[in-house]
Amino acid sequence: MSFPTSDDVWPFARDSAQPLLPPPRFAELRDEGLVEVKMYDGAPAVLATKYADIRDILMSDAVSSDGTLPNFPYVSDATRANRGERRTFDRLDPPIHDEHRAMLASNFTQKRIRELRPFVEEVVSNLLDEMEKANGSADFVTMFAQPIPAQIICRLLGLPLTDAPFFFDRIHIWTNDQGNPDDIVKATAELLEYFDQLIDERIGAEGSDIITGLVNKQLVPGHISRPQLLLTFHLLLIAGFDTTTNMIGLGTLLLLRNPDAWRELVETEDPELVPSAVEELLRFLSVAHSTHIRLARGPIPVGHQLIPAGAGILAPQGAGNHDPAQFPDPDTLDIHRDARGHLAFGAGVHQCLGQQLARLELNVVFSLLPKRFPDLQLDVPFDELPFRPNSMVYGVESMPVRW
Amino acid sequence: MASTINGERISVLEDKCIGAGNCVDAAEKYFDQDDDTAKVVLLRDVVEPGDGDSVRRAVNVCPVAAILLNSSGA
Ligand code: HEM
Ligand code: SF4
Repeated sequence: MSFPTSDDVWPFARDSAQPLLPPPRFAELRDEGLVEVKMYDGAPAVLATKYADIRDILMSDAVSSDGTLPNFPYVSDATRANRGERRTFDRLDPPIHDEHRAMLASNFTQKRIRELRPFVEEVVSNLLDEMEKANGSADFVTMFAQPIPAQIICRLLGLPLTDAPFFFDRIHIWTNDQGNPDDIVKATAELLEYFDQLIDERIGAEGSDIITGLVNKQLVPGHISRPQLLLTFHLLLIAGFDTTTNMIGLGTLLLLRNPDAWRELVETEDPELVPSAVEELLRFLSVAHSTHIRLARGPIPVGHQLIPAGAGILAPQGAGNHDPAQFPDPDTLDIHRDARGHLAFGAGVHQCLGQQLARLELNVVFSLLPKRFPDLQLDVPFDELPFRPNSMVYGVESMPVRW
Repeated sequence: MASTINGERISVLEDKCIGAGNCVDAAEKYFDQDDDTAKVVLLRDVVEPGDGDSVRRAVNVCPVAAILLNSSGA
């Protein structure tokens, strides 16, 4: 390849003094344009750090997400184990990707998601009531950030909430990019077995949940195979639980680190401010910090350059979202900036299917939480918080707060 | 210039659309989604005065570049 080569091994580390920012190496390399870095096994991959380049790559017709292709880059043996053979539609290319995604899409239209608002408000209000009873302090993650998406996904999929601990446990194992590959394979098998039994129960059943709908409208008439449907359920569960949890946790943390922004949300009467703040939190945090790995199926034009067919590609959303050419003063949180157009949900055909739901959840959280707990603050020093650098989705394990 | 696209014609590439719904959020007056397929439905195809920014916004937030603008009708 004809790109400047760097000795850097992917993934880059964050600065431990600035754990809410993407790795500082992005900013150092950005002026170089595309560069070649090494994966853990020594394989080369092309890294993009400019917003425009990352968008070009993710939106290209020649880019592939198919992890079974030769030379597809991996960050560890663990990710090879959990993503290699798992052909959920986030790892499939068009046209099969589009077919599988389309089976779900009607559940996530703007209209359907807007109809869920009263339900989401009820879930969040009830959890805030619970928190109020907790005598002035709590772990924000287990008390609030986790149960919100858990209750919502369980309701959408028609799963009993009592099984949420089982899901959390398996998802936690599954999303550890440096975990033990055997454990990861086992966690996947257990989730798939759970869904396999569920399919039998739902055949012929009545119900408006997504699983019952897919079983009876897609599986029974033969539009999708049973193994493929199991993978779709697995994807929905993983994608919907952990991402939103970490946006609620880190989003709250970032606001508490920016007291002026927090105050504004406490005091605002402007219905436009929370949606704008939510987009800025998504941009700034870019929690899906490992969903940017691709392979060039054919040559990919990027700016004035060309990534050759067969090259492994890294197009990290966090780097694009902190490109000063797109977002001036990118490392400053500015809840008034127009952050729409950020890459936190990806770009191209794989752009997040659940994004309108995630936006709804975050909008309800950041409308209600600051007003109910205006004096919320961290109950441990910031630098003692247990961040999760090795997790597929960035976040904190726990976050003690008081009020 | 951003706000001088009055009269431009909007067209959508339904085959490309993945039903992300971002265009609906950006310019509800122009875009909706089909209830069954989630694909974009164009509600009107000529940009009206004052709507330039929101339509351009929809073009920009579409993840698959499925919304096109052309000025030939202007
Ligand atoms: C703030 C929360 C969320 C963030 C930051 C997020 C981020 C992302 C990103 C970056 C991708 C693209 C992956 C890639 O390009 O390989 C993605 C895909 C996806 N997300 Fe989300 N997501 C969130 C919430 C959700 C929710 C709530 C759901 C479902 C209920 C969901 C379901 C999916 C699915 C199914 C895909 C695969 C789409 C495809 O490949 O076509 N996500 N998400
Ligand atoms: S934003 Fe693009 S992909 Fe999404 S519904 Fe509109 S046209 Fe379709």
